[in-house]
Amino acid sequence: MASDRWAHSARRTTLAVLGIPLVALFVLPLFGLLLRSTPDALLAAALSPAVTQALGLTLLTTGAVVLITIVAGTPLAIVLTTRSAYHHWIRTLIDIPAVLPPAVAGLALLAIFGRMGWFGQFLADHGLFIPFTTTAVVLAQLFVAAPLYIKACMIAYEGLDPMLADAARIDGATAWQYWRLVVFPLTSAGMQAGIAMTTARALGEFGATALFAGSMPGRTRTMALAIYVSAESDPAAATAMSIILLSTALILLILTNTRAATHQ
Amino acid sequence: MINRRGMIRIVGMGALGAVLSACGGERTETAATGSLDGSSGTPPVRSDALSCAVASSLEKIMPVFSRLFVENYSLPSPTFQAAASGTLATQIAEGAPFDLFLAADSVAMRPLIDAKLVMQADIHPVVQTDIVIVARTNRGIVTLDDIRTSGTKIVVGDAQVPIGRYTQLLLKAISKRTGDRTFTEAFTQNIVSYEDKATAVSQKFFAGDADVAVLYRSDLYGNDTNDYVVLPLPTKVSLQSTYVSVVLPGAKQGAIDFVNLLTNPAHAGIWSKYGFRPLGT
Repeated sequence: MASDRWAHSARRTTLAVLGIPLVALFVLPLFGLLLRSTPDALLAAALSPAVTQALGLTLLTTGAVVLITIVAGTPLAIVLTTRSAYHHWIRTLIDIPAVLPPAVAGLALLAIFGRMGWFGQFLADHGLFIPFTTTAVVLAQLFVAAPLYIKACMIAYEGLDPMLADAARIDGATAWQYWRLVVFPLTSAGMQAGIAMTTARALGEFGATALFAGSMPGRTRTMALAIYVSAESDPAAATAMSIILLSTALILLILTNTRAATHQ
Repeated sequence: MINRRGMIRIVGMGALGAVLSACGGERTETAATGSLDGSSGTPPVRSDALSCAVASSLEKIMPVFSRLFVENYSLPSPTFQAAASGTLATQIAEGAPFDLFLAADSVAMRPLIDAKLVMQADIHPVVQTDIVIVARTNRGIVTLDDIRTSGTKIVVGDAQVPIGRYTQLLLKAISKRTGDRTFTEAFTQNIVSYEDKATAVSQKFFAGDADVAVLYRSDLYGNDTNDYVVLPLPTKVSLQSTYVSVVLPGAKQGAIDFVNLLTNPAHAGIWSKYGFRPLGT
């Protein structure tokens, strides 16, 4: 009995030791950022119009992306868990935006919505112009971030035991009752994990936004872009801005993960 | 609950993402010899090759000088990393192992001076290029006044990067020369994006998503001249960007030779062909 416990403990220690370098790689650069700035620099950055404007815009567009993703992505995930002839193709197509290099995503969006683009020309003829607008930022973030939520939802739905539906039917539950009382409680943790991933991805989106939406303070310059531009001439300000973005992401992730853990 | 198939999918997605993401990136690195237009293949990088950090707007011309360097000095073909000058300066100040740095203006050298890596006296001018205002031909913009039209989409560089600093100087010069203080205001109102480097400005302009852009004349090289028109500036208004070089501490053999090659008057024709203005012309 004691030797079993010892073996178990030794196994856990070995695994932990093997994982330490990776944890250090994740954590040390973040500490490096913190050590490189000063409270004064952080305060100055937090109060600067460039940061308040960029952070406000980033939170606004990320919020819009999360909302659209939940409203449109949840039904899509449900549909995609249903087997059909083109089921695998559609699932693969939905995966693509999430794995594309962001610059390719930006070019692809321009190819469709740009003024010389296939759909953009039609829109321009009707007085609508998407590139260089806040809508373009939302589209870019949505393009790269929404698939993460859809994927997480699909995995959560597929993890459900099919017999649950039969059991609910036998017990006389309506379709709505089945979804409300069985499906959502059992899948909400997966959905919230998806929301966390989508939020984080949208919050840090850079490449697609830079190419498709440009970089206009107050309109399209998100925090990621503001940090990059600031790094050109004022690395200290860029560091302070990075800490602010990091803190924002951390708060949002802690909130989402705490809710997910509560549901589990 | 993630089942086995879901796990495999996530791993597959991650792996594909990692592979594709590796194809992206903001910087480009080349080891070039090649023909005069730099179009031939890239040989393997040698460890004794010069490593040069160059402003993104110099990327097209560097392969030409690389070839001349190999011919004249029998040294390996230099490698070039092209990016925004400020980004490169920050990387060098943080220890990036370059032998030579070519920046789009002397302001970009500040981080190196602050880090005491180089002194002001080590920085030398190399070449110039004109700052130009260009418009898409199909937008009916032929004079500076046409830019004032509401809805004109202008893309410029951010004031924190060299092309943005030059843009501000040019606008000031135009307003001063013409005595029209409203010009800068009208121009600024039509700006739709402040880009982080010159190549990003030209990319958006030549992709057709912007009507007007402020660029280096050298950025026009290689683009279809039917697509754009260089707008005439008021008399006596002219602005050049001056590219500067610095040989970095511990540079490999040949760094100074490469700078001499760039500033050799015999190669003025090469610079001119690519839209640059050799020093003293």
